[in-house]
Amino acid sequence: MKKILLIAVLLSASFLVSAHHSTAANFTQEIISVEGTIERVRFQNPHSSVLIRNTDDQGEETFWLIESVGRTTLERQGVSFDLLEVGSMVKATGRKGRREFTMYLRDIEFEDGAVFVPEPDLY
Amino acid sequence: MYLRGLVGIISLAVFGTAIAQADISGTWMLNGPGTESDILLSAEGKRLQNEYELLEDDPSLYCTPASSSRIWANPGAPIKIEQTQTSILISYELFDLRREIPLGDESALTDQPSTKNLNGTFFPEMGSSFASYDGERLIIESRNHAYGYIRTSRGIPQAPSTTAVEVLEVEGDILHITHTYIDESIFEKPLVLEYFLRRADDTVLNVYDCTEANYNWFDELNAN
Repeated sequence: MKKILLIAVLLSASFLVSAHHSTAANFTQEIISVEGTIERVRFQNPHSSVLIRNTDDQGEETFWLIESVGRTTLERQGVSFDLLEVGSMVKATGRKGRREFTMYLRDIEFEDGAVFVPEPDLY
Repeated sequence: MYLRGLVGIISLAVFGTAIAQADISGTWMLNGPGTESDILLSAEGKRLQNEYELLEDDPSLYCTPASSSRIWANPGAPIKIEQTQTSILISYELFDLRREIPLGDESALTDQPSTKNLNGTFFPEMGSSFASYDGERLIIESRNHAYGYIRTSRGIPQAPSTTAVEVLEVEGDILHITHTYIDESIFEKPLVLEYFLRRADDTVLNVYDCTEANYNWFDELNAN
């Protein structure tokens, strides 16, 4: 069911554009991935975001703020963050932020292999 | 002869009214990145730019419009324009801004900013404006700006001494806006920006309900 929903998101979001604050300026072109647990989901303006807790091999915890475009723009394209549940293990991929431990979201992969892409035309 | 002259006068009046009321009403969405002229900052302009720290000073982070150009050039957020006999009302979904601009000459200019949000907060960064028609074009002139940023990504500044002129013209289903910033204290020559918006009358403006992007809580998480 989740995969079907994700496909629907991909089809409906055929024309999404860049985030509210200057994505080009706030985020580099370097693509990185972070694995961890979803701690917080914020579906709001001007930026939606997902907070992920990453734990490395030594047990050190780091929190990553994964940002995306604002709520109204996503809603207009039929995209929501309902699939992103607190406690889920995920891998987030996107553009590394100039602010430490931030990223501009490209996609989030769930444990079952399903992939959530809020802005398919952005990359 | 008298009748023919009267018809001529009426025709002229009707035609003149049509010209004077260029139809820019409707809902519009940014259509592409637009253009900008060379940006030649003066010494003062460079000083203001150098003081700007993108990750901390971008007014957008605090739900504040950095400038009118920043608001026009925002992708994905519809803009509704309404024309009356006495004013132009521009509603920007971004930050829930409502910009009411009186029609007339500069005597219509007031000290009060022309723009406020749905909570009634005024934003001098958008300036105080008046508007007039010139044939098929609507011309908006703005003064009394607060310090702000015409381009937030690069810290291109505006100042209280800045005058901005927006020329709006409909070309088919495209609203073409030429935005000229004039300020000899900041720019070596006027900065000219162009935006192109596509008609989107089926798009409804939603309540934006902006939440400040405060990163302190996040920084504290990783500091512990």
